[in-house]
Amino acid sequence: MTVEPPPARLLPAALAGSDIAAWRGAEHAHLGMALLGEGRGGEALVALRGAVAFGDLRPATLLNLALAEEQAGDPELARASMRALGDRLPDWDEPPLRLGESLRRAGDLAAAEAAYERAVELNPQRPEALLSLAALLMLRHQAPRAQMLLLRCCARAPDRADAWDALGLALMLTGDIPAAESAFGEAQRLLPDNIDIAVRRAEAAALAGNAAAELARLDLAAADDPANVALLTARGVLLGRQGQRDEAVDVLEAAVALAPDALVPIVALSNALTTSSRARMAVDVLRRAVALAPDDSNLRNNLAATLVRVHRYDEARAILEVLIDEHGPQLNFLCNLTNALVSLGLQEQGVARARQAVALMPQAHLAWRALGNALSYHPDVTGQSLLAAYRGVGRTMPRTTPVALANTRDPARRLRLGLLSPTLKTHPVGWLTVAGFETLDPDAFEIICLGPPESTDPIQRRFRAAAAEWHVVDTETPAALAQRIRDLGIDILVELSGYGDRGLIAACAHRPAPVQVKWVGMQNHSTGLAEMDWIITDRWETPAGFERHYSERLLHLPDGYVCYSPPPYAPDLVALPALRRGHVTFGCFNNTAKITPVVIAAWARVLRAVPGARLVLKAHQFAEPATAARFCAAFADHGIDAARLELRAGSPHRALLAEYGDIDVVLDPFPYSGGLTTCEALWMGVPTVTLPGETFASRHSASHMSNAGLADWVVADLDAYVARAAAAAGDLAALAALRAGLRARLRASPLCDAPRFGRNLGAALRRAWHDWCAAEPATTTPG
Amino acid sequence: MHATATPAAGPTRPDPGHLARRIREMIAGGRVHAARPLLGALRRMAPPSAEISDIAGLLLLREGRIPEALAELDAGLALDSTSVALHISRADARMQAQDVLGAAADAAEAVILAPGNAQAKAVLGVVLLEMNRPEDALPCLREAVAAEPRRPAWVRALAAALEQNGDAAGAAAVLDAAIAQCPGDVALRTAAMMTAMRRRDFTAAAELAEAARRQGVADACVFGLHGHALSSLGRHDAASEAYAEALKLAPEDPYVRHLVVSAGLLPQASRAPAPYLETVFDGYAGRFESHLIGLQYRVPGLLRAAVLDRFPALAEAGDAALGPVLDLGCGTGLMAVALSDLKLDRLVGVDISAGMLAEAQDKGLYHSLVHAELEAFLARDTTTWPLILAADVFCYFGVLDDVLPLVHARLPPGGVLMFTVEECDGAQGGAQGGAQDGAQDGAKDGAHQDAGGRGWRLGRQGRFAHDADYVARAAIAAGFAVRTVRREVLRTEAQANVPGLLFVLERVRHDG
Repeated sequence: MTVEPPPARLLPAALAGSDIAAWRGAEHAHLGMALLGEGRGGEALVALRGAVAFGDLRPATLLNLALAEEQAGDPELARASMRALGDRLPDWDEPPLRLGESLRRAGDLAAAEAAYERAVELNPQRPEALLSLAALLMLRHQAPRAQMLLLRCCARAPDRADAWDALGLALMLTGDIPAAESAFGEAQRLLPDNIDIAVRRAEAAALAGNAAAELARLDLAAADDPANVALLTARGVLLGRQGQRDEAVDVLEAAVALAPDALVPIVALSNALTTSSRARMAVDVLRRAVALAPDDSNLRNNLAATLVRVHRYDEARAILEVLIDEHGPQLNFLCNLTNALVSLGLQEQGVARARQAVALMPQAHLAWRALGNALSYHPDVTGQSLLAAYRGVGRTMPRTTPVALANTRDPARRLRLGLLSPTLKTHPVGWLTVAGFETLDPDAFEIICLGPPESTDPIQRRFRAAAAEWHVVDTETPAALAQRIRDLGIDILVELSGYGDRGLIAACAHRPAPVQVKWVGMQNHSTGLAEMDWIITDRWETPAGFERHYSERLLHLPDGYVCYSPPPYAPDLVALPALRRGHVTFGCFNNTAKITPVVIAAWARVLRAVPGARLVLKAHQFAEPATAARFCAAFADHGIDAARLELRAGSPHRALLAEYGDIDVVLDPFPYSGGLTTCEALWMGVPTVTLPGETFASRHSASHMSNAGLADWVVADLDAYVARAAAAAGDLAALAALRAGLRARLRASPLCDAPRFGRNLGAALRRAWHDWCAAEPATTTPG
Repeated sequence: MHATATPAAGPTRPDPGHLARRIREMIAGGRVHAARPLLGALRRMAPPSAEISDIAGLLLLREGRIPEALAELDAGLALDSTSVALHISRADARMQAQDVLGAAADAAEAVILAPGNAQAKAVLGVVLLEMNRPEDALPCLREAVAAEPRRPAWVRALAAALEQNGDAAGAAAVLDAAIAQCPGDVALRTAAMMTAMRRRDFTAAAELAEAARRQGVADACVFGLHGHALSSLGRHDAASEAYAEALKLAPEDPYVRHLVVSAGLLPQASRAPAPYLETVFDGYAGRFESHLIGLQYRVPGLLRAAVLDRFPALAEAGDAALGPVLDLGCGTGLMAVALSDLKLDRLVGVDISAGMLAEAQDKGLYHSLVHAELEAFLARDTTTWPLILAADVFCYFGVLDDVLPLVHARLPPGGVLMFTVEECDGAQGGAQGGAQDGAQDGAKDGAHQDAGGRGWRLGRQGRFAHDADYVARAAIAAGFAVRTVRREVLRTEAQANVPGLLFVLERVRHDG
């Protein structure tokens, strides 16, 4: 931090300070420099001022005094002193170098650049100046010039690891990845324990296509130096990039165990845990990372996003609101906050935040996605308003130039059917689609899954058994994924993830397959995407006249649009609880994002209409006391005593199913109805009163109930909703009889009849294929 | 983007004791990739010790590196020969290296060093079981389980010891008690079901499966065994449902898939998959014959009669031997037993199941035995066999059009193939005349499927049945003349006769 005196040849005689610098002044200066070196700016300032007062006017003393002024809190004065000194000693490079550093710290990058330029001009070989200027130029998007300066710096000071490291960064920015890998290699040779450099080298190797060689090198190096955290961290990062996530997590955990206070391994571990869907562990690790680097807004944003994944919405909201206060509204913060707010049942605030994101960056598809997802839960949503939001996504989704597809237009041939989703596993997508794919005619369709990494998940195993090929979709860009799908010769691509967390629908905008079909997986409405040709639906989801709410064409199945696979561990049915309790228990196990103020008002009406009745709500969100209290208060506003409510937090799946043993009638939320939840309630013997609207999400329950032969539970308006619930509560004998036979009824219904569903799905997909075969080859694609 | 680099690890490195605990936790959790580098670090932090060798040995065992684990554990015991943990680990390693005697020595040493150590006793008990000394294993395992009743693996070993000592009821009782203690342990459930099924108490097995299902155990093996138990009780529809649930949990398992296909719940293939046969028969080998005797199995006797009918000189005094003779799908060698007093020159058996062949080998009646899939064997074989037998083999083929020409090619002119098949329209419920048999069982249950004009169908037990016309057509097409076709009862199942057909074919056409 302190400066050395300039060479005597640079000093004018007036400043040479021989006899005027008394010995006491020199002593003070010496003390001041020592204090400055320890970062004790205030004390240094006193000592250096003393030195000057005693007549020590040597340039080094004056410059150190300026540094002390900056450290002690007066950067303006410091810079003025530096400028003055620079003017008096125009050939000395130290003042402009220090001025540049001060300006950079102050955020005035243009002025900092000019100061550094001056320092380099004065001393073109000085490594510190070259390095500082180059670092600044990289920030200011002038990587080629930075690269040139750093090459000079490395030639001048080949033993400086920081120079090689910076050169590597510059080469990364100019796109010369192999050279960057070499530069990082040199830096690592000089500083073998440095974690950042090791990680950067590994990442450069991966980008240069040398991941396997780098892994092998790291293995060998680690064998010689097993306790080297830098090597372990780099290896973990590289394994993660290669999709070997379990191993990556293990290796990074070892690195963290060996260096618990190092930030880079902890951040890398949190990334590895997040990408391997171990969100709960990721939260713990991110908390430690934030504690180590509390000013890192990215880490706090990541923590908030991960908290959302583990249903800690209230905590996530608090973090994001503070971030917005501190850093202003940024797209990522706003999108994550939208998600947290909606999940808390604060749909109005969520939509407002999403609109703020759209206003901030109207060309960002993420902003439109947040708006669409939030609107789908909002009580005022309409088919058209939601379509408009999703058209916003469709419009702003990045696209590459369309590529001609080589698929043969043969209507009868066996088709390569691609299933695109990270959720081909135990997930609503799995429970509602796997049986349909298992029963597709294998002579007519060859199933190619583009899905998550291999695991022992039982539903993923079912997909695997049904699929001819399985391709792991991991970290590639949507454009690269689209090219891979094209290379696989997929004829019909079924998209099963939508605009959800880690959804892969962005690849569809690049038109990877001639026929693209949207099915389950955030299928809450139209995708608004011009390249999505069809959406799988049924006559309850999209009755006649609903075409106008969709950008896709409607691919109607004759029964319901999904096929439910009940879990083999579902508990047996129990008798109607009202018979033993003496009062009716309504229930809703949907997440609180679906519970709007209008829904709460309707449920309060139901409870008033059925004296003595109780309402059990079950959602992950109720684990947070603030959320539970807010819901109780909302019911109290409608005159419902908390004693009539029971708010239960989440539980493992079998336990959740068993809790339907406490419920007589399910009250569906609206406008976002239950999907899988309604199917599960039916399997557990409990029917759902449902009020469909215009959006796809609002009509799931109507589809499932009608498909199960229970269309009389689907109502047209709020009054009918209340009346239907009250009527069900008023005829317990009928309810008990329905419940006792409901599982058998469901098993025999089209909702669970997999062979029948498979035939219908195959016919619908063939229809879409015929349509494409009959169409003229397009000269341009829509966009 | 500022190019300065942060320094490496902070000052709070863990101490060796803490690190050793972390490594053990990671090994126990199967996280070898985390444990391996930490062990490397530990070795840098602390001098060699018995504990480090023990950890290293455990890790190597987890990684499947048995010889290295043995070397490491040897080194550790050289440092401290009184380490009970090291003896136990080496007993485990030696078991995995098939060194049962060495394992016994280590386990015994561990028990001597620490007479109160339950794990040492359990390991010794398991080793003694492996040495076929269930009577010695029993007290060790009893004491181990008494000390730590919540160790499912020890309980299963104790149950095995009880069963091998003839106390099947005792085995069932300890398993039941352990299931109550550890209701989520699937292996205990399947062990209890297998114990019941070995006693042929299928009702108890089915009840165990039902209890598991009610308690939320969703496991393919439990559902599969449930299906077997129900099938043995003649409850074929319920068995089909159990198999279907098993398939959801083990969708890649060809054995379960074949059972579901047999139940008519999935489109059927034209023959049983080889992995299915291997699984069934390897698992069956030890009790195959007693099972067949229980079913009043008649096929070897029927074929013996047919052989004598065709070659009466074989039973007479004189030198007129016939050979070589090929026994396709020889299984445990029952055919050889039936033919053992006849003058055969070189009887060769072929089977897909190594377990079955081991039983056949013990009979000492075959000139040689070949472990092969039948069609693959015939395709590469160059021998000419005047007589080929296939007792209860073609019930694992639906279509015979491929296999009969392969047999034909291995016979000389006038050579004879004798075999049995189950008859299509027989006791399993198939309607006469190849009509839909759903009429009898209800259309939805799909319990088995009709010949459908193909001349064969797949039955509920996973076996195919054929109609006589189809077999004759296939035989003639392959170049045979049908010399004999006779209805016979093959065995008795669930108090009902299983009807079949005995065929004697002669190679008459030689135009390839």
